[in-house]
Amino acid sequence: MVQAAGLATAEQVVDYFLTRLLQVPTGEKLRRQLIDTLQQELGTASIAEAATYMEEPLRLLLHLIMSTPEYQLG
Amino acid sequence: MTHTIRTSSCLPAGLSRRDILRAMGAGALALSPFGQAAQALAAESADNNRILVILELSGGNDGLNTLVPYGDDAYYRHRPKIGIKPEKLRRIDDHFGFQEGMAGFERLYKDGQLALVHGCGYDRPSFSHFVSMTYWHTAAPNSGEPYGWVGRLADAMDPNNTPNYLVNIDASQSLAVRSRSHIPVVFDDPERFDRKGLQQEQTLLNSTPEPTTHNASQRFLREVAHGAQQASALVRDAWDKYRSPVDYGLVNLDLPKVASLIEADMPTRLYYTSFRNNAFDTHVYQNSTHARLLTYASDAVAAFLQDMERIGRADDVVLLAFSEFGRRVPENTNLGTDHGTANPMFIAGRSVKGGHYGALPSLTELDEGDNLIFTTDFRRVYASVIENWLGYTDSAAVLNGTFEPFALFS
Repeated sequence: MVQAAGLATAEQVVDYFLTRLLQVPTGEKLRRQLIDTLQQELGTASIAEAATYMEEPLRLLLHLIMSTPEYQLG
Repeated sequence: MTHTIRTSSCLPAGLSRRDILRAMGAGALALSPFGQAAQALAAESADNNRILVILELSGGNDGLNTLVPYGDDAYYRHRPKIGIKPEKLRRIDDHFGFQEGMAGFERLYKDGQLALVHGCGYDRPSFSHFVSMTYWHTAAPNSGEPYGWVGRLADAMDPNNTPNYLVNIDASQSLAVRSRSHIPVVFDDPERFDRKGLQQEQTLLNSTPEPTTHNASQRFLREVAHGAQQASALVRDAWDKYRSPVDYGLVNLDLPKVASLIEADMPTRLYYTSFRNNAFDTHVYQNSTHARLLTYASDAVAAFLQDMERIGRADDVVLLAFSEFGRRVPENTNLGTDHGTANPMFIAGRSVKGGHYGALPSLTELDEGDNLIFTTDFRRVYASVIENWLGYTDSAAVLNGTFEPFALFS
């Protein structure tokens, strides 16, 4: 899904899933934390560089988004 | 008469009427004449530090084999095999005795700290655990009331929605604490009352949600999340610090958790806990099982009040115990009892005026199903604790009707 959507960076991935999963925009603080967490888990900001092992970090990202209060409005 | 609030299509998208009412909060209430009266009543009850602990004995406790009317021959005629002989009872007067294992209740009664309210029930009784418990939870039999009486009481007593005002200790939230405005703190094990996740998720999961947003529903959800974070920290801290020499017996009914929060000076005025899992549903070979259940309950309640003495809060705490119905008067062929109707309620605490209240239900004039005909609407007991213990004088507004309180407190 990430590759098919042409997402190149961790930031783009976070924005993509926030848009897909949440009905309301989340705050910038949370968005920044999610980007930092994903980059930390990938070890890079580049999706291309992490293409072979990014599934677990992406699962973790989805879990975090779905754990937000805003997800209850989805 | 009760009114169910339904979401209207004319409301803004994503917002229910409940959301808007929540968003209006106490500020809007305070502006109306009704709101001013409600605030004044709430202020009266806020002047004291009194706490009510409600203990649910789930499953339908057999009141006749709990507080045994050994002085009435009809009891033994109805229960030739499971009736408990006078010499095996803890006799408290010339008519009643507690089960042998209920040393705690016997002591409380003899110390004048246990009120026994007889014949509690309601008109057109249900024999379904689920339905009858719903009636007791909502204090609104045969009505469809959406909120619990304890939740409605919290809303009335505390229109400013003080955090952690209402605590429910159980595996899941009881309907009794469901509230229009308050968010009850619901937990089971204090040590597990936090958000679980992978180690690398913890920072984010435990970060404080940003409170500001223009979306009322989103703001409400963030407040709930933030409140849960704060409550879980307080509960875990209170439980970590709690050390008591008091022996609560084999099944403590979560009462030590209540004690820990009271000792930690939580602002909670209303606690709700239960003897879980339909334990008292004694259809088969009931005597030994029932005796054990009552021993556990009696030991735990007496220990809890002893613990309140230890921490210097005995004058501030009262415990109310009830079950969703009693059992049928005659025993069944399995040496047990089936679902019945009226039952005694128990109110315990140092501020309680111990003794008997309410008229005794007849053991000879039963209904067509061989059940006791109730003599006391159970909401009279609710009204008693609302008005005469907690100090909220308009119990009719909470209970959707007027019920005469008993003078249960000294």
